[in-house]
Amino acid sequence: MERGKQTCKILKEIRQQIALENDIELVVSECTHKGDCDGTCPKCEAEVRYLERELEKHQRMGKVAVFAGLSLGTIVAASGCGPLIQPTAGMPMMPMDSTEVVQCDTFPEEPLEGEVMIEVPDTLGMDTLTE
Amino acid sequence: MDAVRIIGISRHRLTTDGEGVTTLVAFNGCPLRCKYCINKISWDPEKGRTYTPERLFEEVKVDQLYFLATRGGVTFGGGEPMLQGEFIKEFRSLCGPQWQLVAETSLNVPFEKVETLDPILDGYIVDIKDMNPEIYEAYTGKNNVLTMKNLEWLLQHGDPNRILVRVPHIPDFNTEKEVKQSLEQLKAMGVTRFDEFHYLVR
Repeated sequence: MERGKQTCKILKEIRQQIALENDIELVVSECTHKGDCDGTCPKCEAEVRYLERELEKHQRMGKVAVFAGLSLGTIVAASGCGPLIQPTAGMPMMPMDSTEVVQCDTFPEEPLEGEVMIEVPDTLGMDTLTE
Repeated sequence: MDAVRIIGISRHRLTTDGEGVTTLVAFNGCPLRCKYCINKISWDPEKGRTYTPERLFEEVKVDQLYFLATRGGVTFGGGEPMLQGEFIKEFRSLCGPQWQLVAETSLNVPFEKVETLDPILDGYIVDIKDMNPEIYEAYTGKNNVLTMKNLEWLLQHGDPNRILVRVPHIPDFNTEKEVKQSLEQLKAMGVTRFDEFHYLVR
């Protein structure tokens, strides 16, 4: 689940940048989780919610939230992660069996779009929904 | 509006479907029957989970902060998202103008669908298959008349850079030469962004 850890690292960097740009104190501790990483976890999600609350507070005080259009390319470089495998749109990317938008069965080996691309060693795992 | 079936949701896609962090939402229902489709559950109208635009918005908005910070948003795929114009339109009214909404589409849909959705969408990822009508029909089971008409219209009505055209090498269906021909034809039409790639048949 190296991909998940890479995603986690990039998302964490995004959160830090948001905090920095908006003068929000965000103490991010090093993740010590050793097992599978889904790219996000309750701790990461809690940080997002915290940022949202802080931004709301700022807005109530009349401050405008700053989103300077973070470049993912820059963030990837800053996070120390290697380049993302899939630079172009539409291609299956990384197994994202991690994400818990909804309760669902997952098919981590199945790409979404109908075709598997030779250039992409990993296939997209998506949350496949069943009623 | 009526709920529609969604066969999958994938969060935290990084630069895959657009500039920033995106969530892919895949609709049930597709007019094509591509030979190497591995997402055949989209062909079965009973598969997936029913969603209203409100329910979907409630679920995907957990990543709003990432969307806003990176100019990301939601990419609608499937299946064929252009068949879900009313749903996407209503979804846009919920998410507001800041999320980037992109359709990953074959464009093989009635023109009215494209016309309805174009003001709503920020971009397109068009899987063109092959520009040769015979190859297209052999691979998808359907002709590409609507695809061509819709692509031409999109190119003439808005910034061509909002359209990324994916041009696949399809084993047993097209050759290197035919892929090159497709690329040349597309360039002549005014397409500026391409993603040439290979299907891998397993």
